[in-house]
Amino acid sequence: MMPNLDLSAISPMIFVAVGAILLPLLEVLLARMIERRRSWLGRTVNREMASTAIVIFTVLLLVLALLRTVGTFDLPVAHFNLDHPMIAVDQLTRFLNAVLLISAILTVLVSSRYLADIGMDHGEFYALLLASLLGMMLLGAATDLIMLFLALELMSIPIYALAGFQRSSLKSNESALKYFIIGSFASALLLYGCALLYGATGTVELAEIARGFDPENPLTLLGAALVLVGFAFKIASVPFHQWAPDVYEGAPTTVTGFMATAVKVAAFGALIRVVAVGLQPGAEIMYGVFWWLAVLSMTVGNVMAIIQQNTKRMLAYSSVAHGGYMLVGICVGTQSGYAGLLFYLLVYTFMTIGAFTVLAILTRDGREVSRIDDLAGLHETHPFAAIVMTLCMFSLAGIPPLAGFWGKWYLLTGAVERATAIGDTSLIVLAVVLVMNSAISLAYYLRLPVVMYMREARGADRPDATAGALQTTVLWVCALAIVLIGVVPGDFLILFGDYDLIASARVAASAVSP
Amino acid sequence: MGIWDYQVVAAILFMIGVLGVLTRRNIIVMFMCIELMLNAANLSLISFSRLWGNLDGQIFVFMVIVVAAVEVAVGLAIMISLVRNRDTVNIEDTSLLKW
Amino acid sequence: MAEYAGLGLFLLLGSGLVALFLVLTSVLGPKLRFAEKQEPFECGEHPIVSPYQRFNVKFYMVAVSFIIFDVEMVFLYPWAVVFKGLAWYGFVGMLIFLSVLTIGLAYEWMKGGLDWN
Repeated sequence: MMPNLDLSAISPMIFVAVGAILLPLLEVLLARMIERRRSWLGRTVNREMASTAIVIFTVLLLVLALLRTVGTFDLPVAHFNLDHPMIAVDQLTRFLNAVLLISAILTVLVSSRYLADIGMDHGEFYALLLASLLGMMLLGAATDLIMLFLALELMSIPIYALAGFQRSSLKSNESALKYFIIGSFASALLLYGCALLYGATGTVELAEIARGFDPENPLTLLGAALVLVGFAFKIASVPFHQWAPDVYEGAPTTVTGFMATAVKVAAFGALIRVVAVGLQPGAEIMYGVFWWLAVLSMTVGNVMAIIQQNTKRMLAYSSVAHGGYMLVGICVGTQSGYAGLLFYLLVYTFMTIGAFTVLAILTRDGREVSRIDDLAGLHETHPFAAIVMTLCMFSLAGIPPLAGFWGKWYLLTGAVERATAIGDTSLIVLAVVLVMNSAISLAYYLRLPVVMYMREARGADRPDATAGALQTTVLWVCALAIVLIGVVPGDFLILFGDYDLIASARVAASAVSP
Repeated sequence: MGIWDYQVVAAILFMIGVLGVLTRRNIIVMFMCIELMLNAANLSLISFSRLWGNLDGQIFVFMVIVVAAVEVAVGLAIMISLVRNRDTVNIEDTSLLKW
Repeated sequence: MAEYAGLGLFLLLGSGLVALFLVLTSVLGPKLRFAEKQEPFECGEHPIVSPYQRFNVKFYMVAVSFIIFDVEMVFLYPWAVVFKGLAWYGFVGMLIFLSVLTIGLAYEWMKGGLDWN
């Protein structure tokens, strides 16, 4: 009984998996060699060279995976195992994988220097990062509740460890603990939801669940509700967001950047697939839920962000608000809605990683810049970092012609199109709330440039840190991406604009169903 | 006992778990309540698997068992690093991060 | 009923053997009774303190390693049941799974996770 396996379909994931498995071994072997100094290699190699080798190995694997993902972008839907299609590699998966890999590459590049700055330069960091990345890539590809749950846990568990990576720091411990308790609570809710959906429909495949979905059956509804609550925790949507600021503040800065971007990308990717395929027959009931989640997330996130004094907490609430913007795309529920959401995820990744990179650069000997006021006069000490931070803030606020503006623009046009097509005013209300919230968000996004450019550096409590070469590269990449996507947004929307995402997801999920 | 009796037991166990996580303040107890939730879901999956006569639910349970073990390992590691830095397992004492 | 005869014989032989050993040790074994022997026995330690005390944190590594490697074995049971049908595909698949576990064990060993001190 030889199943129909297609290893080439999941080759990017295999690269990442190989890295996640081999990196700890590589790290411990190198450490031993240096310690014993027996062989020629052991005498010549030192700690820095070993950690550089690990970073190079990681980035190499990630770039290979990224090239492979981008290179296969135009191919039709592929399955790893045609007899049991738990993983579907369609355009949605490939796009999500590309964004996830970009986020991971940028995080690794920033982290090598940052980890040395906080005295935590261990190769396990990259292994955990890759393991989590593997979970994220599988999460976007899962067409089966079992795979969905496994991938979700594979994504979350290494992130718990990463959040607590700075073992000696109490804040990092607390952050990891809170994330762990809330995260596994959410996973358990989602799991029970999966169990109820399985009980109501007798299958774990998303396409089959859609066939057996009965909106009258309380079992189905409760199952769907629990699954959605699980997702709402993961994307930190109000009212399931309270963990986000605490966890984002305490975790090491580069990990926060990775959590804020990659976890959201993967969770939204899976949410699209679950909503557009598995729970499609319940779309009308879910619309109301998502509408309220979106409105609450946007409003609460933005209002709370205004009163924050800590930069990372402010960015955490901003990330809650952006989760609300993205939920608008889920509410719209059409091709253009999902395309707008995916475009937003790409843009959001660059903006957020850019902002967190600036914070990571300003870390030295374990001392971080915590308060917003400590960024005062940044344009004197770190002119380039100040420019990039300003660009990121303007883009997050949605000021044209930067990338963030077009992200919101496509979400808005998607909502308005859909609203006029079906004559639904509630979507128009949603669009208005989105615009109003963008205006509110200016209040705190503009505060950073004001502090950086208009205040004296003297009063700021800031360690004397310089940027590493790789970190500067990341700043360049983020700045260029924000400007470039802002100038020619259409070229990036075309990446998936030509593909019917919903149909593709449905085809992918039901490829071999009878 | 029919399938639905098992479902009732699973639902009760799950609710005990949820209430435990929400009300208890000892991290280890909260953690055990989360495990209780996972195992309630397992029981539910197993009996649904019996109801539908397919093996999907049982395969799911195997995965969940392993995931739960991995969660235990990582969760205990996080707790131990917390206890090493600050001698407590009470969630109320972990209040550095508040707004 | 005939097919249960073997089981019955097994039970009979097993319990008989146990009973025989118990009787033999109580008859043949030397007997010395003094106060300390009547105390509860716990790994050679005098039970002079309350049993509710903290364990050494070193046990944590052992326990967690045990949990991980023990629970992963749950996959071996269904695999063993259908092994014939899976043939080489199943064999290679399980080999990959086990080698990943082995790499994990090797990492833990080299990192010193199995050292007691």
